[in-house]
Amino acid sequence: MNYSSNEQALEQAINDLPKELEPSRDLWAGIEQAVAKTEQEHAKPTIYSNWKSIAAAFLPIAFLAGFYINGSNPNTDTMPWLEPVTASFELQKQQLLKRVSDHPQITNNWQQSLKELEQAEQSLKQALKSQPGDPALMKMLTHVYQRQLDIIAKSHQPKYIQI
Amino acid sequence: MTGNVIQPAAFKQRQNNADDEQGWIEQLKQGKQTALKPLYDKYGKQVYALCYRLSGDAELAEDICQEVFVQVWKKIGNFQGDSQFSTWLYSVTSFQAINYMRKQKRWWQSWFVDKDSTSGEAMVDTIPTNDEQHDFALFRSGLDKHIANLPQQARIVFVLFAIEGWRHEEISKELNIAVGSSKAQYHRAKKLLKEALTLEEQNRGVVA
Repeated sequence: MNYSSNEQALEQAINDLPKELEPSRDLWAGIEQAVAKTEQEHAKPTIYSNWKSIAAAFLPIAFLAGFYINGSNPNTDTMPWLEPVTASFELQKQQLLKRVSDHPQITNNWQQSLKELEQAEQSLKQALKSQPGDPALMKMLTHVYQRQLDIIAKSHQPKYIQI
Repeated sequence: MTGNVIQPAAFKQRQNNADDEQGWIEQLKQGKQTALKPLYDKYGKQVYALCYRLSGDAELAEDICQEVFVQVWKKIGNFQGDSQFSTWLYSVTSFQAINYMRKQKRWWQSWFVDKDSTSGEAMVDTIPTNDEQHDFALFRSGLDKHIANLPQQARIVFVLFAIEGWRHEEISKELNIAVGSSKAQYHRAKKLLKEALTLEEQNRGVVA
């Protein structure tokens, strides 16, 4: 199959995808039960939306001012626990990086892995902003922090075992 | 002459359907739980299809699909009618599916796996054999089985971009990745799907 027929085959397969798929079980009973226990959220009034737009226009200024005055990250306002945890981890990470800087590297791609873990850390913090008390997310963030330290430590050979 | 011209009866039917849907939405906004059922009957299988394609897991997709309709009930007040209800519903579905998957261990594991470990060949190998399919009621045909076998990030980007029509800018924002990463994941998904389709074609030729 050449490139263009390959491309066409994929295009055709996308077009042929069924619009509907049948679940294996009846989902309605579960939805009905959950809905009976769930309260509806009321729509935000328009005046609030307008106020929000005005506030949004001032947000960059407020952000910079707040950051300058307090020297803190405003994203952690709803998660007071996050700032000390992050600060403690960053300190450990920097100390570890300093300690291993003159050790020979065992693996070549550890920086890439570290970068991906840092991206995961940012995504988790982002997710925590919408669900600040989610224990699963908090646990995963701790795991990602630990993995970063592990990768830095394991990718460098300790001096005492060098020949 | 019929062609594509909408006949009065068909037009009337379509108009009635739209009116019905509008009525259910209004009732839902007024807190009538019974109005959710006709919307589920109309859109449930489409929502499930999107959940399945995004998650690649039939069981998880069922849980997400249920959660989507609970969210529709909860947040219907936010639907202002600026777009079609179906557009709003698919958008709720995509956000809900991604949020739901974020809470799964597999989501975070996908950050740690070797990015080149999946090949089209490996994807074809994971397709159930005929014997396995016999008891596998949820086996999907066509492209769906290959989409389900894509690596997680590539699958989500592919479904949102190629099937749902999102822009890479929107995808990158939702997944908290760079626009370039979104494009790279899309090309990776396309490459893997083409390889899988080619191999499947070749295997079919050998069997025949």
